[in-house]
Amino acid sequence: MKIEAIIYNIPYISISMLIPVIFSLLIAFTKEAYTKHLALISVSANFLLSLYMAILFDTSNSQSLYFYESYTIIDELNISLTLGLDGLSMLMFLLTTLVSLVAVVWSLRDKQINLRLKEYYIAFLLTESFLIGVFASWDLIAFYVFYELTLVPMFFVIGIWGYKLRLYSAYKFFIYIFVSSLFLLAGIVSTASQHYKKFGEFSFNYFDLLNNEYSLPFEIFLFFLFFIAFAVKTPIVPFHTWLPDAHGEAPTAGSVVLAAILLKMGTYALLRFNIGLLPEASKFLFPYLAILGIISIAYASWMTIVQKNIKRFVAYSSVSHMGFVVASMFFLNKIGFKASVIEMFAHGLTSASLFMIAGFVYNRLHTFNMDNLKGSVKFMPLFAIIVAITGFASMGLPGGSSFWGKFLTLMSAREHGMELAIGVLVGGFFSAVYVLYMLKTLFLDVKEESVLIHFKDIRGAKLLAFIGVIIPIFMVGFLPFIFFGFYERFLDFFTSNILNR
Amino acid sequence: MEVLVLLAPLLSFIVIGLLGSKIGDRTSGIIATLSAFLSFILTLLIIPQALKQPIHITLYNFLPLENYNLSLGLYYDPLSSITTAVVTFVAGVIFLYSLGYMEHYFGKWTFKFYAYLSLFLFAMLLILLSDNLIGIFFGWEGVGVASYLLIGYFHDKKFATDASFEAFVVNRIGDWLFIFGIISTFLIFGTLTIPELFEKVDEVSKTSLALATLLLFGGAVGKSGQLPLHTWLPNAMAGPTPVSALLHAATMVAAGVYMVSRLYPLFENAPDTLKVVAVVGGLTSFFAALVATAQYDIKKIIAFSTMSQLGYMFLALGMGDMVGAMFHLTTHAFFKALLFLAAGSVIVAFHHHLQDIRYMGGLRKYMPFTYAGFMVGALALSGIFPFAGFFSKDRIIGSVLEESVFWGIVGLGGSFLTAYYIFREGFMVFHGEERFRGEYGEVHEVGRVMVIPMVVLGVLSVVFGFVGGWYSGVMGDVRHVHLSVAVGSVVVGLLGIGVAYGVFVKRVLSPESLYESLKPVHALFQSQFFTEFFYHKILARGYFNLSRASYLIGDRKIIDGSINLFSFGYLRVVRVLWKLLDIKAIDLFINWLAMFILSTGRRVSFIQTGLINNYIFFLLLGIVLILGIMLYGLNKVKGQG
Repeated sequence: MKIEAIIYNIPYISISMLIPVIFSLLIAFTKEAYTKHLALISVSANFLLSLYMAILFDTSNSQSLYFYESYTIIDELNISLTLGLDGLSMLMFLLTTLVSLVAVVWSLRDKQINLRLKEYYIAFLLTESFLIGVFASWDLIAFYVFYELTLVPMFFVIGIWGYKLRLYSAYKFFIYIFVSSLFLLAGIVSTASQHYKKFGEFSFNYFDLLNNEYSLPFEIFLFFLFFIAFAVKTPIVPFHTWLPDAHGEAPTAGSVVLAAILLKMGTYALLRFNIGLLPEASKFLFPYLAILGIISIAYASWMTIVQKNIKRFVAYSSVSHMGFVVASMFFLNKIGFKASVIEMFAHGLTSASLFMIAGFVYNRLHTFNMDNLKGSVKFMPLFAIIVAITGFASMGLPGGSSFWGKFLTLMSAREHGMELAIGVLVGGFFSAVYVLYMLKTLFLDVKEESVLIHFKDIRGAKLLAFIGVIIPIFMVGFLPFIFFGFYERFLDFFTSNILNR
Repeated sequence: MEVLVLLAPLLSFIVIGLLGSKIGDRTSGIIATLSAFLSFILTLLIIPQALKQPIHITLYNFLPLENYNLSLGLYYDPLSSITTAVVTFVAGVIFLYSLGYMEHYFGKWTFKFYAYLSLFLFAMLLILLSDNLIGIFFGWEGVGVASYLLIGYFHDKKFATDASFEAFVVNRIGDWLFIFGIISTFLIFGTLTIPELFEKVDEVSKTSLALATLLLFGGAVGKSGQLPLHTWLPNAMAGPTPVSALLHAATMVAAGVYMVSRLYPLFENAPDTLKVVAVVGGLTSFFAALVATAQYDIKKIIAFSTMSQLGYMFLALGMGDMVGAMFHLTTHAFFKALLFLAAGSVIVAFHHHLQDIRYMGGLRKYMPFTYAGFMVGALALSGIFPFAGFFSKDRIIGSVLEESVFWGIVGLGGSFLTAYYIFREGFMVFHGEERFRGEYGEVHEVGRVMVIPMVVLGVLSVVFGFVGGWYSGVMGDVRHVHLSVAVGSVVVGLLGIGVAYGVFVKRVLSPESLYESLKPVHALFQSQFFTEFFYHKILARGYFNLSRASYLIGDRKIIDGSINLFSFGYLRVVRVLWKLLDIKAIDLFINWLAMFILSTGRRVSFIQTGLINNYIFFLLLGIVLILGIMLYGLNKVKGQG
């Protein structure tokens, strides 16, 4: 299958991938005093560049590859670095640059980060670069390389700047994802060799692989090879237990990037590769996978409400949100895909904000224990407003970012029938309960008001970081057509030409 | 102008929210009040136009959905514009009252309170005026958020935060049903715009419509506190009294009734749903009236009365009398607000310390205006001629009796209980001996800013009933009530009042001995037939315990356990292999190899003669050997090629 590639004179994607790398080098070779400034310049420049690219992007043609670039790596095996952004990638790309900006702005004043500043910011810049690579690559080997590379800086971020159990968590995180990725590699090589069988040449290019044909059992086997890797990354119950540990111990900005973007790699890849490359298997497995998604929603909601550690609490809530993304994706209709993508974006915003809330409260009270956090936002009115907005948005109230995702998920489930819709309904109800419980905990009184009353309200860099996610939260809530516009055409193309080819 | 009705409270919310700490609490309150009255006046200006021809404005499009544009728009027809006028007026009056009520709390960031109130009003107006169901849902959830913030306003009290938590959770159940209903409606009709729904209503299949309307009604049950989603409503009394008044008179709970009325053509085409509506409404009206007779909290009695009256409204809706239900909603807004404001005045008189009517009594001589206000409200609630409640309630009972004798009798029984419990409260608070001592300071009448709203509402509670004919005419459903029904219901009401008077003022029967003899019944009523206990202790706590158990078993034991077991087992196997292979096999082999090399080295060391020609000989031998192998290999390759 061939697709229109729109090439610009300037290699925008390469530039946006190189900016963080170049600045990392600069940080490495200059004085530590300049580190923060350089990091900030890098992420801001990248964010502005991504906005400019979003303006260049023609939303009425979003199934085409914009900013197309291709560099051959190994000619014999047809391995190349093919970069390009369609509607879906564009949205993820915007999310990546935005959240990286927020994470760096937050880190500027994070007291937790007081040693090895250079390495810390280099880790974040490299993560940003690799993530852009993940979302923009159209060659499966390049995708795999970037996908694995994102692990490395995150491993160090958790392991060095984390909290008490950081080493255990870092290893658990690494091993879980590394082992599961081996299945992914096997899957990629199998699809490529299937291409060789049929066309007599190897290819790892996504659009070449779309032409592959498989027998159904083999396709299902391949589906599971891909699925295991992405299910661990997403994560889907029962592959989720690495997430609370990783989040519980990661520094705030690490959690932000982890929850907001790294998890999206899993769902993005599920949509792009599992459903895109293996549509017949997806259709065959649709009811089971949709039910697995619904189970994720409900199960993780149950788990959430009993967590004592607020970061683990937010981590479990992420699992529940990703359940919505997975369930709606595997309803395999256009509304479902729509819901899935907007929910990915929305969860990126709310989870970032929730983790920053946890980090902020930790800075004040030096604990993550929910029992000790009762009423902690009481004397910080501005912060309390932020908590309320984030909580309600994450609950799926209209006007917040998650509403459209949940609304459309329910709608796509209803298209399949009552049973699935009721499942989503029940899961959705439980996912509202835990947010309310958290809000109640944070706003409830404590006996020692004397401790709380000295707290300074939020301001400065941290406030800016919050504003960076809260404005988009409201934008998704009230101006959803901007975001849906990015991938409306892409989904038309995807459902008609890829899913039902 | 049409948009400004909606924007006035929103602007007031934003201004107060941003500048509240600078402009002070009183100014914030005044801004909120003025914005409500501004909305009211603008609505009055719009009403004449709207009565002639419905006004439909589209503001902007949210997103295209299949073949339909999800948009935000306003729709003024007789129903929405008149209800808007009532809501904004009652809200304005309550805001004015709250200036006096909250004075006690000025200086403690009370501007927040007025910001929330404005948000509340804005969300309610969104429900009333939206031209499509998504708009209504935005308002629906906005009301939920605002009520959550307001019920939990005294967030240093645990019961207040618990109540707000409960209110939102229970409402979420209704909300999910509601949004599910919206989606079902959309899938049936392909549109969500209300006028378009009405046009297409005859074309769609009745069974799917029945399901959709039932789900929509599920939303109304949650919002209006009907059985079985009712426990949050009385607990919502934890908020400040103006909030209770607002919640119960004009905004939150009225939203459910209004929504059903708004979509009434849909419900009319789903007779099965209407039956459910009627049964839920009728049961709730009687249930709540029974429960109200056994309460002691000055506000809770009125709260259960709201629940009961909303039950009447749903009963009327179920019996096909939409206009009667909406008219009762309107008159109810006035007298219920009045009752709450009077109760609030009593609470203010006790400096926010006392709410239990058993410790009040004899307040009549201290608080004449409040007493008069309460009594007018109570008479209107009991449906005594010529108060407003008489006209609306009689119309409902008349319509219900026409349809079904059973529910008509239930309704009349409810009226008797209504008159009884509200006068029980009135007599216990304002008549009889003074059961309080001076521990709360001197009790006296409240200030003017609180009296004026009560007077205004009192006058309306008396005269508004006479507007009934005009109202029915505008809404297009005039019904005449039989004299026998009117007389019957007044008599029943008077009987209820008489019983209360006999027991609590004349003490023909001693209330204490009655209490002793009816203790189990009393306990049953007071605990709301144990529904609250069941929800709180069994469902909610059970949920927490189940979560905890499944976390410990599912996540900790099964998933993490199997992973740990796997890694542990892996390590064990690797260790065994290491011992077997590395240490035994390979190391032995290497050792053997080393020994072998050593020994051969010793044996072959005779070659190392030190003579150069020997070395060259060996070198040549080696080169010939290597070249030979290479040549052989090359031939092999060539042979193949």
